[in-house]
Amino acid sequence: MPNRDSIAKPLSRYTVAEGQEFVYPDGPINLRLVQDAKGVSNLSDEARAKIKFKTVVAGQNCSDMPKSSLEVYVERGWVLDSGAKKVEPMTKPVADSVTDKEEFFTDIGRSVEEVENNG
Amino acid sequence: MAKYAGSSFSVRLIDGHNLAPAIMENASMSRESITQQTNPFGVTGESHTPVGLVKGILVAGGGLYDAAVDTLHTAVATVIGVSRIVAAAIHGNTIGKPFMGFEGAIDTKYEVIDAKDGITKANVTYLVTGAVDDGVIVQHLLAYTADWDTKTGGAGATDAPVDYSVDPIQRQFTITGSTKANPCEVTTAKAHGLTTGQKVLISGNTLAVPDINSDLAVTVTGTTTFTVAIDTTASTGTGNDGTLIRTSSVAGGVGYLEVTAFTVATNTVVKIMHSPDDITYSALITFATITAANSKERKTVSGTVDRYLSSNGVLTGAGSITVFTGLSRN
Repeated sequence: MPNRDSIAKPLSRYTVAEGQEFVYPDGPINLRLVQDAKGVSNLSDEARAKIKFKTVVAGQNCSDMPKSSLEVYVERGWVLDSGAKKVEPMTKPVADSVTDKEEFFTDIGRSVEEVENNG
Repeated sequence: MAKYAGSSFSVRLIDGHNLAPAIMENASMSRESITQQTNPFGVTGESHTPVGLVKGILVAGGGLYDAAVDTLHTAVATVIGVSRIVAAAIHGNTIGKPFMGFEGAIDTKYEVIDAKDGITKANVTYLVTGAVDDGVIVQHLLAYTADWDTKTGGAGATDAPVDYSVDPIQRQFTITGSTKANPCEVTTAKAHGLTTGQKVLISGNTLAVPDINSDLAVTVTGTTTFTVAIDTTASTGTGNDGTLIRTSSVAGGVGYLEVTAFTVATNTVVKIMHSPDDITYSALITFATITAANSKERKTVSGTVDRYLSSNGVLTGAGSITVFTGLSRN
């Protein structure tokens, strides 16, 4: 049963690094308006004034930052990625020689013959 | 080519004093690389070697002599060896227009001219020994009574971020080739001077589906070559055309702040922000907290400076602040 920390982890994967501060559109609706205009500069004065921005400072969660921006800042080390380490997929151990097979099956408490006959 | 007149010269800030309204007849600003003559005897031509110093010179001619606050007389009352911070803009008090900044010990030649049956005037020449910077206005000199942000137009302002790709001091590079490969390698006609990770805006290149005409990070492979992370193996077109311009700089910069008026009850914090995509902005420079008029600061930063620049301020307490910010990229 996962505990509360492990459930919350994906939501707070990205945090603002020390000394950094970011401002970005607050929520998907505001982000969509800015993205559709291809940037804040391209919004009309009226539209710009209506966009709500969010400010995050060092240590705060910034996992809702626009993905394109996140990639840039993670690469620079301005945003810390707690899930950056890749998890390699598990692979079945492969025994190449008879000796290896014997050692492996002994370790798991079965004989080579038993496995070969019964799977 | 745009032309400018005296009406455009509306910003001449010295230690938080705006002296432009006090200047009557002429004004100039210049930067000079100091050299020493180094040719030996027996040669027919002179040679000069830079000594690594840059000198800034500002001249205000025929200014009104006035002992009131924010006038030539007040700003230069202590004339010798005082370090000052100067920001001057001759292309107008407009976001995105260039300004020249100085910081250093200023030696001043200050002449008061009395004329019979005439108004008393003054000539001032400032010799700056120290830093001289060319940059762009991020926050034009303007009064605010509430928090503001130049990217969203706070407090009724109709401001906008500064886009490095349209900076008039930028140099455009001609593209002579781009490969159909993964990654695509671009060749320029002349040495591009780029650094890996720096971003460029490519336009007019004929590779298509996919194209490379966008704002891209580069990986430098040679003095005239770099790659961009686009697989153009299946692209059509020759790709031996187009231009590029830098959209980020990598050697840091220098921010300028000048405050000519301040009545805010507690304080104000002013920042210069930058953004690679005009969507998410990060703090580039946070100036020292302002608590009085005639505040000024020149602050350096290192590392990447992104394409878009904006400025914001947070007022604590009621009142007003008149502020200017600018940034020079190294």
